[in-house]
Amino acid sequence: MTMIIVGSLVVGMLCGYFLLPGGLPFLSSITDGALALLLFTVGYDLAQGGDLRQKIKDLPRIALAVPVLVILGSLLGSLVGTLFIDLPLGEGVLVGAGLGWYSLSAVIIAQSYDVTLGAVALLTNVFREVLAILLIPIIARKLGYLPAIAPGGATTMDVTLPIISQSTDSQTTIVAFYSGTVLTALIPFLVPLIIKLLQGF
Amino acid sequence: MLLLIGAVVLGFVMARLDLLPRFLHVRMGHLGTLALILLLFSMGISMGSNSEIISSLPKLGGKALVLSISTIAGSVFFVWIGMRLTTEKTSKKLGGARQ
Repeated sequence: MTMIIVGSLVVGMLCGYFLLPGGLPFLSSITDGALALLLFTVGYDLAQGGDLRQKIKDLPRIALAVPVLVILGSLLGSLVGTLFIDLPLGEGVLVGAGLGWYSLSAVIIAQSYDVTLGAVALLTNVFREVLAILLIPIIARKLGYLPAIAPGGATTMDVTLPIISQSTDSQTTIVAFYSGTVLTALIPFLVPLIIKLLQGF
Repeated sequence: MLLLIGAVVLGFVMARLDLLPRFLHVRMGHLGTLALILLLFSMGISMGSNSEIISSLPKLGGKALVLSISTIAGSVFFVWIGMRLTTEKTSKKLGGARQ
């Protein structure tokens, strides 16, 4: 499975770079269609998993806190990471607050803070999504199912949800969908809030 | 975003009500794999052909790589430690310490 994942992504990147530098006119419709079909199969699988209500009840209470832990971990992680590169601490944290949703965080940062930092946010969150796709199966095996939700950040409600669904179980898939939805709803507030804080200092 | 939530819900409801014909039902796994390949391939194309991403790679790629690795490491660590600290309820499979 990991080979299929890595292979499709890499072949796509190479095709995009060498063969289709202008992109494809309906590319975003293809992406959306494939994503919708994929999420349909995730929903279909969830329904096969028996009594969902019981499974949600059986989850540890801490599962509710997963989105909060993901935010705190991302902000502190980016703070530590910024110590190793040439970037003001607060700006590193701002980039980390994108939580993998590159299109949104990069646009907000480029428009209301700084264009170059917007480009850093774009790349960082693209990398986060790609690395998440590669790491989720490994983390699920080595550290357990719930930690495998963390790398995806906000993308665990869409792009990385199928990977989580295939690497873990239906209980974890529900937590991932819940966490991704909460984070996706929070980013439009979190990123501008950190920009406000940065501009206040 | 509504389309995406709708797709999950639709799949769930159609499975519960057993609305799909048999030949689709048994091939759901293949259909998912196929859609995943198509999704990742098209995401790859849009990344590879995105001039903003490609042109900023040489200058900003290193910083972005450090930041993406550190945010992932931080978030995985926090969720993992959260599971560990609630040992009595969290099974080993989910990332806790309970056998």
